[in-house]
Amino acid sequence: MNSLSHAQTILVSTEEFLKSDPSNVLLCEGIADGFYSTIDLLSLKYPEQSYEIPCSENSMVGMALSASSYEVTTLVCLQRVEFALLAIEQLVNNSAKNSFFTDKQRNSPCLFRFVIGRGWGQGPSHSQSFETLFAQIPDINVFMPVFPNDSKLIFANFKNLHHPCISLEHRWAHYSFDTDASKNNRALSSYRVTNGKDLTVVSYSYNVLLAKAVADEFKKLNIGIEVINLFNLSQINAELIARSIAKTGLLMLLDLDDRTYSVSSEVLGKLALKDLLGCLRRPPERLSNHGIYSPSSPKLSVDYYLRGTDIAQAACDLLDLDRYIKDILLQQIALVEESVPSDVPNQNFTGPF
Amino acid sequence: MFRKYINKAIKYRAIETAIAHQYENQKMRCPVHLSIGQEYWLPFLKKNIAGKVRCFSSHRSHSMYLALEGDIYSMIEELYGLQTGCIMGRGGSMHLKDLGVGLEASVPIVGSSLPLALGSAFSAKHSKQRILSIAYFGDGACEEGVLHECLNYASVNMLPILFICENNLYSCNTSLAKRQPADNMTRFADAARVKTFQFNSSDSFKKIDFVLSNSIASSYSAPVFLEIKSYRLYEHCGYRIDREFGDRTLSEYNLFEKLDPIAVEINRNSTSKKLFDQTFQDIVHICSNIEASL
Repeated sequence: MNSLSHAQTILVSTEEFLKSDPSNVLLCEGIADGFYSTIDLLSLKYPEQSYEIPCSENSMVGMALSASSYEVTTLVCLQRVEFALLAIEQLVNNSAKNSFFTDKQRNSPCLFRFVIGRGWGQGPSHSQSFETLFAQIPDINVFMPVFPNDSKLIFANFKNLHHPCISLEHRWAHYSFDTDASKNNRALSSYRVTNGKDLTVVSYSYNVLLAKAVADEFKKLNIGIEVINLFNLSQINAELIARSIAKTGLLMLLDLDDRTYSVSSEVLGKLALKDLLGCLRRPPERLSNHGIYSPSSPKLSVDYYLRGTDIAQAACDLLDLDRYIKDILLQQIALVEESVPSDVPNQNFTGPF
Repeated sequence: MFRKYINKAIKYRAIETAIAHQYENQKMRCPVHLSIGQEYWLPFLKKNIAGKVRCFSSHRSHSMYLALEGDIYSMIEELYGLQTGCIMGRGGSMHLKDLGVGLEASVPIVGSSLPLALGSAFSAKHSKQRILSIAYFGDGACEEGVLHECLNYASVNMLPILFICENNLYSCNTSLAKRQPADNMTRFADAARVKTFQFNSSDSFKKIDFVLSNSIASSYSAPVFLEIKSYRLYEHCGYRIDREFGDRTLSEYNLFEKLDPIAVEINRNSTSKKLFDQTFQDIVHICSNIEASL
């Protein structure tokens, strides 16, 4: 079992990336600051391969895309997804188009790490994810790692992919540790985080951790929730989900943000087109954060974010559980959630980002 | 001394004029941005490049394709959308490329190819390869923030890159005076402390050759910004001569037409005229054959 946290695993993977080939380069705004401890000291250990970048996201993303078509392989870190929106022009216009025009003679095997913020007053400009916006760009690989092994797989494989990869890292998922299931996953593909016969929960990013915590509580009462981590948003594994709902007959989908054209819409669309929803005993349920923007205030944001109790409540309703059992589950999950202030990922977190 | 290169420029004028002639037939079914009026310096670029080059162009991509001596037949096939074209019919006139001669990409989103040139230069510098990266764009791209970003990064990191800004005074049909407070594009490079050079169509071929030679030589060790002043005689996009579209006035057009060095050469030299006519006919012949096979 990997005893390293997700952030520590990214640090190790980044060092391996730099160590393995002098033509591998790291570009980051504030590179010496360590990027949430995921690249700590690497700019000192590998100064020739470490590049500070100015607040010029569009040109830097375009530069990295292009450079990776030539002598170097690039890894770019941007502090928040919102900063990457300044680079959407290059991502849309140039990410994989040169490969199309040259019949794969010019590919861009590079990796972009964009971080999704949450808590500690991040507010509406430091907490958005826009995963579907990125996933709509043709031939970009969009990953949303949750566990250490997810990022390990991204680092091990992105160089061999023809097209650019975006890893949308949830800041609160940096503190996760591998489970047996995440550790055993060997592919850049959706996988089961927990097994269960009663309910399927399709999720991604931080919501996987929420769903897993809920599933763990339900398991104590012998109710099996099968949590699926989509992980690779560019290649959603509909067959995996289909097999699960054929078994459970119930489906819940968790979006990170409440958006039109969301990930859950895509999943449901894929299943519907293959006529795979007929096995459901009830209409699928989908949940997400409550509202369009996260307020900055901890008191207000607590109502914005999806909570374990929301998932548990919806699961109880789908499963039509007895009210007594439902109360026990909700109380237990609320107890666990309330043991940590709602605006931090853990007791040790001190902010600001 | 420069006859060989002047003749090449005459040929480029003939090729572009023949494309304009054939375009009217509506068989080249893609937007075509001709470089007629802007060819005078093109042969001198290739003349001064020794070694590997990676060039990134804008939508007016015929210029760089011709300058780097990409395969003409493949270019014409591309304009007709044939799979045998230089990019297999996938891009047409605005995306011309020929990897064999170093035209890596042409991007028709104004300013969008600048970061690609920057990436090429970054990669070359990191890997200690002597490769010249060229960003070719117009005065319109100087209004995009990404130019500032690229000049800034290239300067801070001393990247081996040549920014060639061809200032033809117009963005589509809008004059420079309506878009910018000054007509000098080198001011953007000055702000980023990037070395600048300039020439215009009234300069002698000797000076043009000299400036290009210096610009290229300097850009192997630090970024260089070269502003080339020229005048587009045809419309922004299409096959017609542009005398009075948009902000243009007939008197302005007449002035620049008179100054056009290629037209001057063709008009005063019968051998040049013959070369123009022969090349024009050759291209028309190629086009006609392709059109007959469509």
